[in-house]
Amino acid sequence: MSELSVTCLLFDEDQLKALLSILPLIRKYLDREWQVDTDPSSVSDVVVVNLDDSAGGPLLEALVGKGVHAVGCARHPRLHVAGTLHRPFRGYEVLALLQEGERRAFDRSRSRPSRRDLESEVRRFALAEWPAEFREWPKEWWRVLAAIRTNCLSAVQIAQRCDLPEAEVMACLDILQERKAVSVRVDIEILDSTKGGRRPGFWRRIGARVSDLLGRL
Amino acid sequence: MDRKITYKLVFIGAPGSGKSTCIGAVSDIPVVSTDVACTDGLASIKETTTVALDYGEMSLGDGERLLLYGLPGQSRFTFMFDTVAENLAGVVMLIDASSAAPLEGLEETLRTYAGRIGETPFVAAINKVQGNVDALREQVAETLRRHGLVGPVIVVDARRREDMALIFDLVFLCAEYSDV
Repeated sequence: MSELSVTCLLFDEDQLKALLSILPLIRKYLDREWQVDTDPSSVSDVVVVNLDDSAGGPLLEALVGKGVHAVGCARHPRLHVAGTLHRPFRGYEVLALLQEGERRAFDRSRSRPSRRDLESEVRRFALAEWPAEFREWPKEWWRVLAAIRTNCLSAVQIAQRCDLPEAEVMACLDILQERKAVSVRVDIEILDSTKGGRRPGFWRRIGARVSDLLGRL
Repeated sequence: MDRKITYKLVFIGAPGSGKSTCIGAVSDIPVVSTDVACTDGLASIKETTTVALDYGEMSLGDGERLLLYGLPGQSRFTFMFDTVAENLAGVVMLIDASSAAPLEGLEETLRTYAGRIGETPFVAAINKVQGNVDALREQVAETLRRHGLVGPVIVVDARRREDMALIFDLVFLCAEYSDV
């Protein structure tokens, strides 16, 4: 049987290492192999969210709302809903969680969102710094810079606003993240990307006309 | 009545930063200027300076016009910004790289206008560059960050239409895809 995976969101490296060290200890009580998932593009069977991070609550809510097998984990679990795990992880709780994960192991035919898919809807990006070398970048990416210059938007929202494929937006955001030119926050608030009396195409039309008059770049 | 639709673009910066040159490079009409002879320390830099505003226009066709204003960056001229604020497409902040203290003018402009510029698409354009400008560009970006502003910082020669086209391109890009 194939491996199952557990994804931990909003945990630091030490906490992930702690979970990795627990897995061999409980292995003999599990029917299947488990791995801790650190690949953002892979699919997970169980998701654990750190509720001590301010973004944890909304993120967990969003995941559960999508039908994902997700549980919270907190330093004081009694302050949260029943079923919340202790942080740091406790072996017997992890075992119970993974056994439940095995019982719920998704049907192969059922589509399961990847961690990146799940996070792409709740992660918002705001430009912290307009990159000095932007002129060497594809002009489509300039739109992304403009879109998040004053707004905190998800990749999906940026793609809609800029009329670009989401993969193109993610490629730009990856570079911006590498250069620490963008700040990221997790938020399930639904932002209306059409707010503020925006008139899509209006300024683009004026800009195109001015460019024509001045002679194209 | 044939009512023309107008949009406005403001060039703002310290004396000598190139506001009049920018407008002159693209205006369809002779630039209306309020230049007078310099009588203070500026006389060593240039013969005349703008005491109120510069004005030029670009006809966009179909009755639409882009009005171009050059405003001094000093705080005593704040009231002029109010007079051009309606239908404002964006702001171009000009920085004179040849000045002995290029950031001083930018600082004063931002102390005076940062709040308003933050609500408007803007470009920071470093003009009159000689040699390597990387350090100045980083200082300009840092100055903007300190005032809570994020936007493009570019190096231009205000006499060149290609550079003016880039400025316009960025202003309208920000106007199109930002909420402000």
